[in-house]
Amino acid sequence: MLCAGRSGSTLLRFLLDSHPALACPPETRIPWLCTQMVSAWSVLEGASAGDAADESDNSNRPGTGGEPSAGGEPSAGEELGASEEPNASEEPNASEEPSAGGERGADAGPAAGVPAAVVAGLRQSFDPMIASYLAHAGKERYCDKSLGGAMHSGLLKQMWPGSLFLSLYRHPMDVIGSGIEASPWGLSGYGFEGYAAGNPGNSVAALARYWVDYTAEIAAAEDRLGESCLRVRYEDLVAEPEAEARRLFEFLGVPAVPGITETIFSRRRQRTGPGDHKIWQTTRIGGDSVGRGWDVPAGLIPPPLLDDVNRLAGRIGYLPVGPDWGTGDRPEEVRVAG
Amino acid sequence: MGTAGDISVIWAGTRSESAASCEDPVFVLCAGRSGSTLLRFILDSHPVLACPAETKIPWLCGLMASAWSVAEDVSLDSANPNPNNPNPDPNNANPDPGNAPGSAPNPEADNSKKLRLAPGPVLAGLRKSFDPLIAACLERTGKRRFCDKSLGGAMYAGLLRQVWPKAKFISLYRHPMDLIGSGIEASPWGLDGYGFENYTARFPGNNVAALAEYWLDYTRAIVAAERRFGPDCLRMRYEDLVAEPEAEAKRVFDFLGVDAVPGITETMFAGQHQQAGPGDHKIWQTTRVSADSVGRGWDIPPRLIPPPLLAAVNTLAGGLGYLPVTRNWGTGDKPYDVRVPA
Repeated sequence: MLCAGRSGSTLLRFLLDSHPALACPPETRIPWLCTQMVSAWSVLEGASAGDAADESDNSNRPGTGGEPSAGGEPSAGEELGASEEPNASEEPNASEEPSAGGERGADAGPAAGVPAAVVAGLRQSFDPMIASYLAHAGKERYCDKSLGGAMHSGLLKQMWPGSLFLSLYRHPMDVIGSGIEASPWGLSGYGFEGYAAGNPGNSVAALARYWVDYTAEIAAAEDRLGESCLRVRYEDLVAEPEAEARRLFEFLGVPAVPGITETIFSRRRQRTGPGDHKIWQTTRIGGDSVGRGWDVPAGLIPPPLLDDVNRLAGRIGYLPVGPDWGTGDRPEEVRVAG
Repeated sequence: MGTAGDISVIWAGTRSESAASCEDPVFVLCAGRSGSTLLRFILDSHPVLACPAETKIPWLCGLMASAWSVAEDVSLDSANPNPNNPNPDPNNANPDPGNAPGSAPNPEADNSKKLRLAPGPVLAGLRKSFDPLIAACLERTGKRRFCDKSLGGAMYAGLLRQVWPKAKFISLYRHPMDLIGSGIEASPWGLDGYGFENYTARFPGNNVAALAEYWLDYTRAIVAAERRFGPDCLRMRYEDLVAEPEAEAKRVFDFLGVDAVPGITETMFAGQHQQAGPGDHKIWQTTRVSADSVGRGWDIPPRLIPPPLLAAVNTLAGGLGYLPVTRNWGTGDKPYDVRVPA
């Protein structure tokens, strides 16, 4: 699942995990971990693909979590997506500045130069984890929901050629509104930190940049992956949950489960690991939070950044954020009609 | 090659002593610019030991512990005494996240007192993820025992000890002013790499203070691990190593239970060592072990180090047998030795 924080990814996880064939745990950060492990496997395989690891050095990307101590060379690779909970596992020695934004991610991802021996090694490190989880869950197919996975999608596809991807989106102003609500004491977790540091005193602009960066990565991965990727919008999911669930399961090649969206909150669900804490108080799928970003002052987003937001939002079929955003009644719909 | 279910013993080499094994790796606990690449060369030159360039396995272990805790549905917060841990600390009511798996390395963590125990399934999972790495290295090199030299490993020493209960540790030190001098020389365009970045941010415009704090944090973590591991950890000083390389090499090999190799510190530069991966780039132009760089920090102005920080540095340095950095530092001739005479 390729997603950003506050985009409904935990809801989608619940839906996937409710299917009798699918197991979707809380956030593992496996995509990011795969990239981090590339360098270790490269060293131990004697592959000259520091090269490969360097390709994950998204030097303009935000977020934290590079290497603790790059011996002799500047650290490479950092985490685009932190977890949905404030996360203590960032390492302290790397902190990238927020990027310049705009559409990026047109590269092939960090997989392009990863030697086959390293890819095989990575499978040895990660397959046991997946196998163990499937054995515990008694299910057949593993699903991963980790924020920021899009920037590692090239490597993931190389490691697991048969893998499928879900690209999840949500309207930018609703992500911003949800992010601010989830961080009452200051933007923290979800990969927000770098953006907060780059936009002191303006959480709206910080999260607008966050949305642009993450969404651009997801859209670029979607383009690269073609038919291996299914686009899902949060608004579609909450408006027509059963139809969307059926579409998802069909894409994944598993049988539909009529009524599944009405039962997902009553099942026992693993709590170990990050995720949206509000999900535990949720009893049904509702569209109540669609349009919650109507109260967010769009005027706090600098015009060039707002242009980036609207260009991407338009591509995904979302209403643009115009000068009259927030005036009048809250819209019932943030999707472009038709 | 062993099976997937028995990867801990991966091959029975041509030597009769024992088979290659993932059971008892060696971890070098060190900071950057402390001579760790030189030590790596010595280890890697031994016919039994394989010590590749920096893998960052300790740090990766910390990261992967979080993922395994999700996969196994066990919380890292729920301390689960591990019978394999020789030094459990079940009374630790306030675990230090700096030494906890999956958490940020806190260089000031006192590993000797605050070890949080990772749940057994997570430890088993980590072995599944990392033993193949070790096995691949040993198989490729034809050696029997894996050594890891990754900067900042001391921050994860507690976890490493839990994952590999038979692991051995080598704690490596260098005089603080020499490390500072070496760090500044290695970063002519600004402190970068080696874990320096965070310290630069704390002391903008003062690289000397930044690296003094770096030395303090890393060294403190190494000392704490050394205390915790007792006889399973061997203390080494860079200055001893370059002063008496053969004797120090023999001491290391004795500690690791492998045969001494007379002359190894003279022949090691001619041997093949893997170049892929981070390490001290100067090593490739080095042809002999030399003490020329001892005392290189004599020109570093100690007045740039804030007094409280300098006091802490001197306290720790004194415990390691190093000369203190006084206000007279840098005046007069460069000292012949930065060690306190025995």
